[in-house]
Amino acid sequence: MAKSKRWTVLVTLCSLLVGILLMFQLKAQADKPTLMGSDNVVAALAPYTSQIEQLQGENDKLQAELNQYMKGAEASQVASQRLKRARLLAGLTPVEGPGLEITLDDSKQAINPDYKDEVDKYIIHEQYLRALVNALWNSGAEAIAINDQRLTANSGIYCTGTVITINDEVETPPYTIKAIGDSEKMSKSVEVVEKIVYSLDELVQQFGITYKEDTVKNLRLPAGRLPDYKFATPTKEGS
Amino acid sequence: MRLLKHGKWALPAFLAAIALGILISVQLQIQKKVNAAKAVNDQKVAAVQKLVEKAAQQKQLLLNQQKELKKKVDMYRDKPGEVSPDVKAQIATIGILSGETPVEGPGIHIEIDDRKVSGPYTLTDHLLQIVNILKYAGAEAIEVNGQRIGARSYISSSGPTSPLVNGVPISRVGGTHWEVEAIGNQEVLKSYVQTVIDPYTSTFPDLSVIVTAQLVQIPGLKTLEDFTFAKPVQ
Repeated sequence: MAKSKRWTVLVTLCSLLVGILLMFQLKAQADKPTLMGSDNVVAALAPYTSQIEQLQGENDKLQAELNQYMKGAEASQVASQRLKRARLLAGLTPVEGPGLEITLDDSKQAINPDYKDEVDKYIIHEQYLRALVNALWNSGAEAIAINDQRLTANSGIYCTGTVITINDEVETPPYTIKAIGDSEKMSKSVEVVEKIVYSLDELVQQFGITYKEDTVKNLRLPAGRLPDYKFATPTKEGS
Repeated sequence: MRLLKHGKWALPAFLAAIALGILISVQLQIQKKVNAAKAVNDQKVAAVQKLVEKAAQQKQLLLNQQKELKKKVDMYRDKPGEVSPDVKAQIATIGILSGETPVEGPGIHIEIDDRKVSGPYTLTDHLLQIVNILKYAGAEAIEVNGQRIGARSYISSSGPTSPLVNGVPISRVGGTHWEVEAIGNQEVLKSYVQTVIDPYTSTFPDLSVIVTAQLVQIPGLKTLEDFTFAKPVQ
């Protein structure tokens, strides 16, 4: 009887201790902080950083314009300069300069019966062009044209059947991308698309598509087109 | 010997007591570490809060400066007979294409929530496809999380962090993560964009993409790039 009582006391004490431990564990779990990572810091500051950058840029432009007036420039002269710059930025001015020329073409090979389920690997797809163009802008390209269609903010690259529509014009292969900028930087950037993202180098070897890259001393790109805006109007601040 | 005197229960009780003692000591150490980490995190949050406050002040200062500068510049720009209204209109219209001019108009708003998605969903690819189809559908101006899409805009990823648009991280704290807005024919934009949303939402059932037609305001490009290599053809 005495032994049984001792057991009861012991079990009670153990249960008490386990209970206390559990409580500690739960408390530690509740207190466990969600550590603020560098991503969250960037996310908290990003909107301000970009707004400040924009405001700073706009103020610098206004200050520069004001300085011109202070030096005696006439408003018409300054407006003409602004118009010229706006046309250049929008891609409405033909430009020339050094850069990279990339040529892509569908395969001329007959379809290998072993690969009859992979017919799409014999042709150039819109996503190759889109990824290459994105990589070129990312590496500082200043102007790009595909088959002499100058790319502007409104240029979509869209596959319609076996051809690709750019600026509402149907373009057929071969597709020649001309990009003005730092050739070395651009070449490194498109290499990721060529060799990793879409493995174009393998498609060249295995299926016979064309992927050719040339550095050109002086490329000439035509002007883009100004759309007829029907829906977008300048906001009061921007007008 | 002494233990034996107290019967069979004594040894297990002794061992249990030692185990419990060790557990208590480990638990206390964990609690100590958690407390220390919490303190560091609190400090970090406070520091970020300070930075955000400072940034808000800087923004206000720049806004005030801009107001003053605009007033002065407008005095010259609006001098009667100096600049023809046609030139002014051309600058504003071309500014829409260059991305310099902030714009507004009817359009669509796309909300993408990929927080619950598991599997190989690539946000940057999806955003690229959405922007591309919107251009093809005739969108006159586009933005992604406040970043205007200009001619030279690009969308990229930088490892595990936020996607970059125009080289700027676009993630936001809380709420919906990704928003795309476009101005244009609402019906046309909606039907075209759906063609690059449906394949994704059927592959990734936890991906939420909501498209609504609404009036949209799109900011100007934050920074306008310079030209070092490209020169106007003479």
